[in-house]
Amino acid sequence: MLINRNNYETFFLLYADDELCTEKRIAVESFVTLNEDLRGELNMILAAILPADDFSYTLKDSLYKNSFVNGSLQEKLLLKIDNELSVEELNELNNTIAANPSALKEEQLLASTKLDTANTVLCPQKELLYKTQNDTVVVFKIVRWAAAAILIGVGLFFGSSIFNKKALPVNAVVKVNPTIRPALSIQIADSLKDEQAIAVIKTDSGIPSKENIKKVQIVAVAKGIATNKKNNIEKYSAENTNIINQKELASNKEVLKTISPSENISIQNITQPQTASLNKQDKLQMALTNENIEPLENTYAQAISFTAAEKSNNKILYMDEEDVKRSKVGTVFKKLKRMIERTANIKTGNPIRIGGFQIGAD
Amino acid sequence: MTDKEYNDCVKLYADNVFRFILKNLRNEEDARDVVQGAYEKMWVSRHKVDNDKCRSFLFTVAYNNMIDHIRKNKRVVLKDEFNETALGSDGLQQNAKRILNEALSKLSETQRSLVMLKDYEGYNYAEIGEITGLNESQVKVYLHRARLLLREYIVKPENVI
Repeated sequence: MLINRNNYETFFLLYADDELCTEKRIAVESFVTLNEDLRGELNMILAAILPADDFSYTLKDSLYKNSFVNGSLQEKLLLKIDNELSVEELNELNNTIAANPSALKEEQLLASTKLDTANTVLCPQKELLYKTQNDTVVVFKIVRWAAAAILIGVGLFFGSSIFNKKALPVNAVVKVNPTIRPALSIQIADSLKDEQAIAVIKTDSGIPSKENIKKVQIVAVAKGIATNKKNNIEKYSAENTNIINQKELASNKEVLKTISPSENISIQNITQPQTASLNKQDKLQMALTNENIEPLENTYAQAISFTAAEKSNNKILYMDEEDVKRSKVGTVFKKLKRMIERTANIKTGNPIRIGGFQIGAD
Repeated sequence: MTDKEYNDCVKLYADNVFRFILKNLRNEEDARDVVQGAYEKMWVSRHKVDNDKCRSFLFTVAYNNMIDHIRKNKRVVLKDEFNETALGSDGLQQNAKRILNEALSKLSETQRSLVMLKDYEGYNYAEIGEITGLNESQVKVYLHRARLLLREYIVKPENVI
């Protein structure tokens, strides 16, 4: 577009702003030369242009965002605060800080985050934490002690039968009716002939037993009954046994004949030759029924040891107390007792200490 | 460890352990329980603990007990909060301490523990790692983050000393 007297103002403003290319600037200058009355107007527009002042900002440094304290320098400062630098590294860092005021300021800020080591906090009741020699803590594991006690008890129970040679059979205890001593009445069947004489021996309870049947046979033999009659005796014994078993106790008293005291046969005397063939139970029954034998002591519950020497009632696991003391079981008991005394400080007059508490034990 | 060595540990380190736990839990009763628990455990294990390592053993046990306590209780509102700056003659210094303690309370439990173990007890990164169960790099990173957070809090316009 060419400059003319209708559009010269626009060209003059562009000229003042230095927005025209070289050709158009020459065209404007040529136009002003041809139209000298418009030169004054161009000069007025050029006079409105502001000059560039020489001006500097002194606080420019505060505008920076620590760009000079880079990541590595900050990390080094933190390591210095934590006392984690070697001597060489520390010296190098100190030199850097000295040359850089910003780094020094940063170091001071980081140092202010360090906590004061002067301890003004005291632990209350510190004296409770001290331990003295007498305060022995015995860790009492109830379950372990109980298990140990049970195992020891079981071991002693079975060990007593092994260690003690004088142990009696387990089934040796015999319960004897304390009120009734079995008494025998030897009755001889009236209806039978002598050669078939059978003495039916019954107890007061009315219940015959095999042992009693045997005694019948012995009696029969002692009375001189012929051997060939023995079978009949046995048969009759068996039959009578069955009959007797079927009857009630109260009415089971087939009293056939009561023998007189002179005819009273001392079973013990008769059976003396036969003693060897009798077992212990038979002997027992005979001993029980023999009126010449003195009554037994402790008839409620007793071991089968009916000797007169068995006077002591002190038993430990079916053994006499004295025997236990002398046996291997006794030594185990003694050792156990000593160990418990030592561990729990159990002595005569000393209390038991468990877990810091004292349990008085007289 | 003999009985005498154990009692020496009580004399030397009970206050430090108590301070460490108290500043974390900010409750005196709980801190006392944790300290007593730590010493009781050390007494029970005294035959296995060397005298040289009793201090780090104490702090390890106390730190673990403290973490267990925090997880169990999960306190939101602190009761009977411990105020260290209640008394003080120098107002400006106390103010700085107060601001620092406030900044400390803003940290997480781990960061707070690391800062206290470093500044109060003087442990190095490896020892702090053994106590807290972290590795050395983790200790370094967490500790540096904590320090920068403290620094940011201190230079806040409302906290400028």
